[in-house]
Amino acid sequence: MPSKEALALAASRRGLVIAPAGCGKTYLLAEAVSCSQGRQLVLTHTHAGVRAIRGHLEQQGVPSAKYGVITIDGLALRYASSFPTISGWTTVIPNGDDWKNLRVASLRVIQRSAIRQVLLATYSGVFVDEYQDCSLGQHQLILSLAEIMPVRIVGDPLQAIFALLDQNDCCKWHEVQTHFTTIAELSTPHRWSNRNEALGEWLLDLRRRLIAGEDIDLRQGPIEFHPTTAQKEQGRLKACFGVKAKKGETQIGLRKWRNECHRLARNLKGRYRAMETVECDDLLEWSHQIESASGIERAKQVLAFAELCIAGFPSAVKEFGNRLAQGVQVKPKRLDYQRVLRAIEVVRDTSSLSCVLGLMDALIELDHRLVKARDELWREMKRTIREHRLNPAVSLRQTAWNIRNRLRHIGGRVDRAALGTPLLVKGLEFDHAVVLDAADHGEAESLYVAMTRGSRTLTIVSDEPVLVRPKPHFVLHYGASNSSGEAVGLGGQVGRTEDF
Amino acid sequence: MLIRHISIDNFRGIKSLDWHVDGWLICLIGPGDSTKTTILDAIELALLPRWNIPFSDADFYKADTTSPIRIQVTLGHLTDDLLSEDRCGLFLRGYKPFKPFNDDPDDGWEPVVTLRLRVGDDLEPHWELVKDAVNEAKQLSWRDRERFCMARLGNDVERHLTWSRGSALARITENASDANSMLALVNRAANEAIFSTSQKELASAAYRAKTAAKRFGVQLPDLSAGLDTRSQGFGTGALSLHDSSRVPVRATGLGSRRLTGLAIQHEGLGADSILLIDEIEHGLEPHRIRRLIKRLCEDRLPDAKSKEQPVAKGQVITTTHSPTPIMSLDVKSLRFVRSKNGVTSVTHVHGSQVEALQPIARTYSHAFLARKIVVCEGKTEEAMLRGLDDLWEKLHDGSSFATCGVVPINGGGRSSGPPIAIEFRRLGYDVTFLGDSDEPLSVSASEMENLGITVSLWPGNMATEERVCTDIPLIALQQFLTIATERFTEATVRESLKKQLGTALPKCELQIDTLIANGLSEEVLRRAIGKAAKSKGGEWFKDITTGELLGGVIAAHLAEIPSSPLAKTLSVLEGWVYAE
Repeated sequence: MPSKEALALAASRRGLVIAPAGCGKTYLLAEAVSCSQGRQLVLTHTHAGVRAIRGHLEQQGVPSAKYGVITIDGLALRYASSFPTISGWTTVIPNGDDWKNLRVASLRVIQRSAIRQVLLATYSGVFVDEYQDCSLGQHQLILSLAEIMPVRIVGDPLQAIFALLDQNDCCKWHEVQTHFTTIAELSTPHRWSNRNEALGEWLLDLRRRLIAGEDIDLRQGPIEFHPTTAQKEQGRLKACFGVKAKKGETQIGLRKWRNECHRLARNLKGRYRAMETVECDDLLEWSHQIESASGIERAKQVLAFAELCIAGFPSAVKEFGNRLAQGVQVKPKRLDYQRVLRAIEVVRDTSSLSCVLGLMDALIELDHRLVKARDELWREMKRTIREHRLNPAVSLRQTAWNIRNRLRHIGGRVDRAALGTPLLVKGLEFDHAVVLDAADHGEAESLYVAMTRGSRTLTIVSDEPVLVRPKPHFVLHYGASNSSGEAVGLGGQVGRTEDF
Repeated sequence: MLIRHISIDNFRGIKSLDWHVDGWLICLIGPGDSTKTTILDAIELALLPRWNIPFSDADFYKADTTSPIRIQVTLGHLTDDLLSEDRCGLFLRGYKPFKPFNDDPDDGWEPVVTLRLRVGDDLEPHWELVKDAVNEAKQLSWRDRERFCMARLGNDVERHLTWSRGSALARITENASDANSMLALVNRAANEAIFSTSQKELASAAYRAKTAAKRFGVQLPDLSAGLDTRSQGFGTGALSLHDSSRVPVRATGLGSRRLTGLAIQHEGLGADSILLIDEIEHGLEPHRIRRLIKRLCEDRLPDAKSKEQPVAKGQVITTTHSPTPIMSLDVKSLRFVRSKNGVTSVTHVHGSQVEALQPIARTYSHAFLARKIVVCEGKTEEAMLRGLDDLWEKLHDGSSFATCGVVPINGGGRSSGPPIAIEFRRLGYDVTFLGDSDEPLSVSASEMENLGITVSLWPGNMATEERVCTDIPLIALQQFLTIATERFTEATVRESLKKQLGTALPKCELQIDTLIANGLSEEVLRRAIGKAAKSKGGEWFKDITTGELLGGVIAAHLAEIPSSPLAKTLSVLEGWVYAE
């Protein structure tokens, strides 16, 4: 039996359901799709999101003819590139600012009556996930669709962390509320049920406090609080190691900035592995650097790369590169060093890239309890070189890009114990979460996302025992107070269905 | 759904064709080998959902397989099913009649989709959706082509009267298992019949087989002949429609059989389908042709009188060699197909000429099926030609206008005649304009000649009647006068002549020789009679019977005046009629 929120959402013309973290948003979306009439277009922002929604739809047995799931930008690209004369769009694969232009171009297309006929012939309605992450251009696109068919959205303004990246281009929540009517706010913290219900309840209260701008006392609640000591990093390490995870349970350590994650991963000796972004810019850059260097320079690049990825990389080995470049003789006594040296010489003397693999293997096998801090990056570099062997006409950098692009669609695995930022882990769920720098998360949104990642335990390391944060953006700037039941409020009030 | 545009390259007799279809009811007419049927065949191959269409070298223009066959059909008024994103939605293009395509369906353009059938020298057909913006054309399977709602009616009629697989009758059968269980019954009953009849010869042979087998050590029970289930038995194709006297419907006359088959095919089709019918008149009398056309147009085409259906939903494209459809259809539906050096052209009647040609379509429908047309200025010339037809038939060994594919029509006067002649010429007919030279035509003779029309005018700035009366021997002139007097009374004729002469006639008999004897000069008399024959209130040639009589008189005496302007002009016309 679909829930009443799902039914109300499906029946609405421009309905909105607010979904706090872990309250069953994707499940609700799937339910609403299944009780809608006709084929539904389901829009989200990332490929991971697409996979998650598809997963729920399959689980609920919704026939695949009933829906089409795609990212908003994917839809824009589909229409802009099918009708280039109208859209003016010619770039095949957008980069950076191209995406903004793409949305404008596709809006032109979607406003044409013939194209609207196509959309109406294909879909009876639209659902949009994570509406708080929409850019202005995406919002315009969706409003255009709302002119011809029902558009129902779900989102949480308190998780609007993408918006923080580009304040000018994001769609403010106040704007969303002008066009959509709030039907309900989910209030059952499903993520924590049967795991740590007290934590789930505490987090709902946290939400209320953040919205109201009240203090958050970390010393209270079903959380593990570690005040930072003079040795901050030590404190963080201790918190990470201190998580009592059972076999098979996942852990996430959260830092505000990515480079901090990488640094921490090295010190955690591989116990936690740093998450890479989907694009993995570092992979692209290093591929380029390794490929464009030659001779001993290339070997040096590989060594530098290894130093980045591997914790405890011996400086003696690093020196080999410099010495050989200067023409100095190197005669190591250790067998493993000799192997490395030979591999370096092969790289120096051969132009083919595949011998780089040999050098990488030799480096990993060094007899020092080495630990890959950036395991994913290392793995991907090896995979890139292997694939490049099959198709050497394409550059190494392009090969790397292709691999990551495929990954974007298929999905990669997250290591069991990972380190990431709120941006990287948004939407994901782990058993144990360790927020390593609560005080550094200056915005309520960032803090909320970080704290809601773990379903069994939450450990917080903070400079301040009591956090005082400004109210979230959607409250601050547009005066949507929490006393008004119409706007955002807690308590799961269901609006009357006749209102929309 | 409608076909908006067709282009064909290198298919059978068509090296190239580029045709903006622009209509819902299209009737293709054209002389033999004008490639009309080839056009229908091409449409059928492009849209028909069959999965095994064999192509051979003969399907290529001049059997040259190095130039691939390309048939592109552009469809509009698409069904919602086809408009969907996963079908043709993302391949839409923009169309405006007679303009180059817009690759995208911008506002103000009709959204259409272009389907291409391509066959290279490997003889493998490829069906694709075409759009410039898309690098890789989208391949279409036969299931996709099923959605294009196209059907060719009236062919393979006998098959559609049976329940064989894929036949129209099979398609309108809701539950196929009915047919199958009936067949099982039939096969069983046949077997029963065999076993229960006394088998005589077969039985004795069976007995011999049994004894022989026994000698070889095989003990068999009593044997007899029966139907082996492994052999053919009766398939669904054997089930066909029969009447109450157990006579199969396929035994009815051609027309009824064809109409029945066609009706069954039509039954399973929606109003938005595109129908192709080759030779719509085949086997049918005029009233049945008319009825067929009416049925096909119902629900499918715009009905101006009905508010519910202002717009066409479907389309009918047909070919014909019969005047009946031409008579019943609006001249706007006609399309004139011509083929020259492999280039096929399809023209339609120009908007400004529709009103002028509509009555011609009704009265002279066979003219549209002719090769050559004589556009006569008026009834006089037309009547004269009727008379001449008999004469020339005798002179040319039985070849008449009809045998040469020549049809004279009345152009309706000096202002409307020339534009009609021009229009027919533009539509591809071989045209002669036969007219008076006494007053200027609406389009000058030289202008018409520049367009390829042969212009035949009487020398001497005279009307036909005048020319005739000036040139024919006196004895023929006398016959004119006699016929006119009998037809119109002597008093009327006298009056008429008096008017033309300007003076009173001598009081004597109304006979040529008497009048001349009484002082009237021959020349003056000839001219007066000529003018009188033409004058208003007494046009002698205008009624068909009199006209034909007079035509006969001319014909009878033409041989006597070979050097006269009349005879010379007519002999040029004769040359044109009988030229190959």
